[in-house]
Amino acid sequence: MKILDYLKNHIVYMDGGMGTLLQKQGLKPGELPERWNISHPDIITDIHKTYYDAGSNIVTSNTFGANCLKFEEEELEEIVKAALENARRAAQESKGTQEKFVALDIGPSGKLLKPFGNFAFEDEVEVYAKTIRLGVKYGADLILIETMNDSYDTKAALLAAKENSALPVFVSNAYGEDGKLMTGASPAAMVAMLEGMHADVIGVNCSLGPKQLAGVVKEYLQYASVPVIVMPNAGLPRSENGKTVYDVHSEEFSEDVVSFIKDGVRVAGGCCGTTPEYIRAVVEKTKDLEPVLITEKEHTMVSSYTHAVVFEDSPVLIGERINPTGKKAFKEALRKSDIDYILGEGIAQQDRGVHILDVNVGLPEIDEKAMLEQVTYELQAIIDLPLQIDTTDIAAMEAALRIYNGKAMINSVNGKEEVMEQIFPLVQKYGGLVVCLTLDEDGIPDSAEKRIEIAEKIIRKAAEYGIGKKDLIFDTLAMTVSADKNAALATLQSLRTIKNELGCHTSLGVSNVSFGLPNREIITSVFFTLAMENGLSAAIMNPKSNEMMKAYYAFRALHGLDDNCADYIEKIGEYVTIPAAAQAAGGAGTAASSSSATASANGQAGAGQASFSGQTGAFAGQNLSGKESITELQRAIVKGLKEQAATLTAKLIETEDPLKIVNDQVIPALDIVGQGFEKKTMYLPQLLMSAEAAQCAFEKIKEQMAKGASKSVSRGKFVIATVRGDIHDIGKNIVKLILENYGFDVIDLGKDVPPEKIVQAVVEQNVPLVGLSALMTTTVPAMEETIKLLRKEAPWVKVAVGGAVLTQEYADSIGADFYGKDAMATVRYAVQAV
Amino acid sequence: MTEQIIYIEKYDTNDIKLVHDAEVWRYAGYKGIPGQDETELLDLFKKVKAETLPVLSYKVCYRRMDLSWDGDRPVLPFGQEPKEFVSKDLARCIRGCHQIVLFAATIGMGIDRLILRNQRTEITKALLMQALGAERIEALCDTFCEKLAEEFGKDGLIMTPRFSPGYGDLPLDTQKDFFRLLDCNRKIGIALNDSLLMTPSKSVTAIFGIRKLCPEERVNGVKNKNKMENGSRMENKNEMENKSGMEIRNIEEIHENKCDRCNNTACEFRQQEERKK
Repeated sequence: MKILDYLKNHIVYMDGGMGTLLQKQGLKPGELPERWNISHPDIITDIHKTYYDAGSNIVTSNTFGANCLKFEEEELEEIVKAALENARRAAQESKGTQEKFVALDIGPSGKLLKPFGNFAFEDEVEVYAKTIRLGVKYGADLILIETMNDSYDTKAALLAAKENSALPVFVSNAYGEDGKLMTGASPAAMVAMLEGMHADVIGVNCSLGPKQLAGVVKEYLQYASVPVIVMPNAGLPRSENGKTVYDVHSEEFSEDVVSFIKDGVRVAGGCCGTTPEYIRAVVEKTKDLEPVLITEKEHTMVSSYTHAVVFEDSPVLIGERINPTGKKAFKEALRKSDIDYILGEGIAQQDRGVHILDVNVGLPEIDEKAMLEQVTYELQAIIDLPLQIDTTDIAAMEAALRIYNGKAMINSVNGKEEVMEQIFPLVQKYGGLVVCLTLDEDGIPDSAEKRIEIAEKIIRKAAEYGIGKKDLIFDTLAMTVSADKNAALATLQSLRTIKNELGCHTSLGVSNVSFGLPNREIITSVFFTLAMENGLSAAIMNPKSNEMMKAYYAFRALHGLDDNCADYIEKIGEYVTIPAAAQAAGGAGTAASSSSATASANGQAGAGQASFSGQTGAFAGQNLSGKESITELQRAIVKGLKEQAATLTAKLIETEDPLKIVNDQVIPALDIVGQGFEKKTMYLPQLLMSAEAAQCAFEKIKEQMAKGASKSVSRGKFVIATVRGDIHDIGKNIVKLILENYGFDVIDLGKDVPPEKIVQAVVEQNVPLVGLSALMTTTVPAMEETIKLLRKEAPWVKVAVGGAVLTQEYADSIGADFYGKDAMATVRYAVQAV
Repeated sequence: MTEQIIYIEKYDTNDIKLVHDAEVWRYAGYKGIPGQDETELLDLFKKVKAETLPVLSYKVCYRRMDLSWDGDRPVLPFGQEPKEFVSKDLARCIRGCHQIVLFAATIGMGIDRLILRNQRTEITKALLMQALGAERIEALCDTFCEKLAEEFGKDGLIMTPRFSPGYGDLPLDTQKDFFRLLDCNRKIGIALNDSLLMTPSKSVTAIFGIRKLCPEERVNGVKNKNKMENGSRMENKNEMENKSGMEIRNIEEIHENKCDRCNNTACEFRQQEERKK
């Protein structure tokens, strides 16, 4: 019998701990237990056999750490082969009459994936794939992925299992006392991702005793539509007369596990500290129990690496701002691969309170696949909201879904056969909640009836791929009301029908409705309200619009979705703007004072950008207390007042040449701080605050320059990177910011950058200066290698190095041109070098 | 006795000593503490604390092992062949000890995410978070060591200062042994990459020795306690922030011809030990 068939009508028993038992047999601290499959096959077989004798249906092979990172390929194969043979032999030798299966055990590789670690996702998939292929070759009945404490790593392992075998896959995660994985995922988030990827059984093991796992188990049972597995520890270990004992004995353990089984858990076993005695006790107590029927849960969910967003009564907000359509600055950012700009849009929307971010980076002249993959990767490194991947490029869609750490929203499919046949296989493989547009080969139907027909067609087609209604969300397409007076009505009517009659969730890109009309926000927000009233589950919307946010919070308060109107009271203040008249009055005062201050500064610093060193001299005698001699903008920059710096610059621009502001005000202000830093009257935090304030001023100046004909002046290009192997780059980012302040066009290659990539950037763009950062003695060799390669391929380039472990001596020995002891030193060098 | 158990300790924020502001500023490259007129900076620091402290999760895993000696050389479970492993600095640090404790400590991934996010948008904040993290992981190590010292004290035992891979002549490569022996990834979620960098970045691994108090110490207290244990950590953290070597010299002074325990040249206990050797 196959394990999944057996599982349909039975409670399945796993085995218990292996490590503790091996230690008793003499396994030494730090010794690799997997080698015992070969060196001590009888002991391993015997342990497996005692579990089968105790009633286990599934015994897990002794391969927890069997991977190609720990073992050479030949030895790995020997180990997996021996491990499965040992388990198989135990099954044959056991007197137990129950159904017996052998699971290939897969534990975490111990590597942390990028961006927090430096192991690539695809490399991790391959690490697991190697062991899994061996498991298939040597006859495992199923794969058990267990003790995973990182959602991303779990995804890599599950993907490897699905791509390299047809075996059933059980996936079990290790939760901490806070009910989260080590990297932050909640049980609901894991259920969403793992079910989406079609794991056959999902659940929890290790870390905690059964009592502490109760909350996590409950959440699994609430959301999971597949069988749930639970394998707790026997509590916590302690030492008694030199022996390791655990504080939860078999009686208490089995009682707790029995109650899990009564609640619906279908696969039960033990982890650290449990022995055959524990399993026997569980089997004894439950052998006559009827297994609880597994039911399909109707939760529509997406997830990030931390949490799930469940589509329920309260509408979900999907931020629309990461999208170049109609946005000049965004397009420019895409062309220049300015990821920070895109991340800024993401952060701003999260701060405004959206639940999901739509991600669309399509532009004809860029490589959308590479860009979408990179943006997805970068966004999920710093923002914990689920993403909605929005593209018509199937290759880009797959690339993004593959590296996405969770269950994404997919935007979109429609009634066209061809599109469904492209998208649904991706959903089947990677999971996802699919936005379904109610249009087909004939375009967008005018009538609600037609749109519903298309919806039904999509539901049927999705079912062929095993995708249920709960993973489809219908967009009945908001059309421009200025072009067709009935457009909004048709949209709303079909929305209502799909919600009520087909029982599906709905979403709308609401902003379209007001296209071509003045004061669009008013129409859009009222339409949004009407749509919510008609059952809208999610809106793709602009969270920067106060009108939209007001409508959202008011709707929730009026619809019984906001207890005591608490959210409304807390949030609404943020979205009520100060009357325009009051704002203007305040602004006028600022402008007047700043322009008079400017006049006094102009006389002083006429040197301009080109003569940087001359300016330095002119400002040498200044300090913060010289109030008379510094302008208001300069003061704002020196003091690190970001908003003030931006406002003052905006005002100055009205009357002055942007370039003059840079040369006469911003650069001198930066110099004051730079010199203070060098003289140790100011410190790094102050240097950075000023740099940030200057950045705000530059933003305003750039905006102005983009409008007018005046070209921005660059001091030249500067490639900056943290070398291969190094994964922390705050130091590099500090230098980057200061360099930008001083007018350099910085090409930031990021962290953990291989020498070839640095050389490539330098050569392709004919860059005169490179800055390399290394943090560890272990990565300085990579720095040296990079310099060598640069000398060969780009002999013109000057190389500055910096980082915690470097010294002048060290820098000399690896052939650098300059050792930057801090950010200012590097800037001074760069200025002088060009 | 050598124990098989790797213990895990988790701490609440309340268990760890309060944030030492001056220490954080020092890590951030600021000399002293910003004055009252530095309102921007002080406000930012407040914000940083409010955002960062709640995401920290203080965890330590450790293991206690017997230590045997081959003459002056401790037989440590490091390297390919433990019997050949030599680190003179570490040997000096744990001289006279019969047991060692290996531990790994971390304040979790949450702060790394915050730093990563903020260095894209507000780098000063990221810098202060970085500094706060550096201060917090040290505070965690101090708390952990103090609590253990208290326990050991009850049994008449005393701990040496902690000593980390990469410090003095203890190769950074020893990180691999710590990870092998402590199962850090599984126990408290620290990963080690090929460059021997730990993630979460605010993590520390270290070893210290445990020895018996000599009779003199039992009566008169540990004379060199301050010198030995007051702030004398020999660490190589991820960022290598404190690489002074000062502490090592202290230890050398202590050990010259003096009893390891009471710092007395003519200690009987020491002479007995010498004879045994």
